[in-house]
Amino acid sequence: MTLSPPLRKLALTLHISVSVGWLGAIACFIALALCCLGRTDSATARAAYLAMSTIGWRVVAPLSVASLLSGLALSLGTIWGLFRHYWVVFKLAINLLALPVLWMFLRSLDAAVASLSAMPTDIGSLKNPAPLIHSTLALLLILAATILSVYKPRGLTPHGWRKQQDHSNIAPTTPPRSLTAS
Amino acid sequence: MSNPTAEASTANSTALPSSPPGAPRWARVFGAGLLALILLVGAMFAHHALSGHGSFDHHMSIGANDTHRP
Repeated sequence: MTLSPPLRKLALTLHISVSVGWLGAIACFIALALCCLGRTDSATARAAYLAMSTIGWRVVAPLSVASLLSGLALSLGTIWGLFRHYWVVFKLAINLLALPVLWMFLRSLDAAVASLSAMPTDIGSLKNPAPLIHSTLALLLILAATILSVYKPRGLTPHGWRKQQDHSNIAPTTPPRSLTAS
Repeated sequence: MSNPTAEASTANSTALPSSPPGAPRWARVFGAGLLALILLVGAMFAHHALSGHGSFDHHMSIGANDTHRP
């Protein structure tokens, strides 16, 4: 199934918007995690944990799912395919890796927020580096996915190569430029 | 009289490549890095699931993980 040009542009716009929004939300997350590590008053750190939980569940998680779904629609509905080019496969792998890690991390964050309200907490225990480590790694992964999207490095997977051979009467030794880069 | 061996040789020289080309260098490097990250994450999940400290939630639970925190 191939998307019509207007639908393709709509899906592309949606995919770029939610992916960039995901990147921005994680940048906010990093700012809050740094706030927890740097502050000496527990009230600010508690507020930062609550904000991280809210941003995580209501912004980061929906945007990550929307990025996956719009990316699937875009790849399956265009000539790029889902498993034809290495850069598309890697983007899919990044997203599929990020989703379960994000879900488990947000559950952990909820447990932290719940324990904050259940017991008095000293500032030392609030200075947990886990949110900063997780969000920094997520930022690096999404940046890598963005770079792959922009540069679209060459390289057909064996499946993509076979598809190309099936649709071609001649046998090019290298994939045509129109398939590997745009 | 035609020579089947020569014909086969000519046919082979112009035949379609039967196997796909290998992955480009960037894909091998990127794939190896991503695979290492996936294995690392899997190992961390397994460690938290199998350790005596309980679930993954324990890792982040504030006030209860002082001996467990890095």
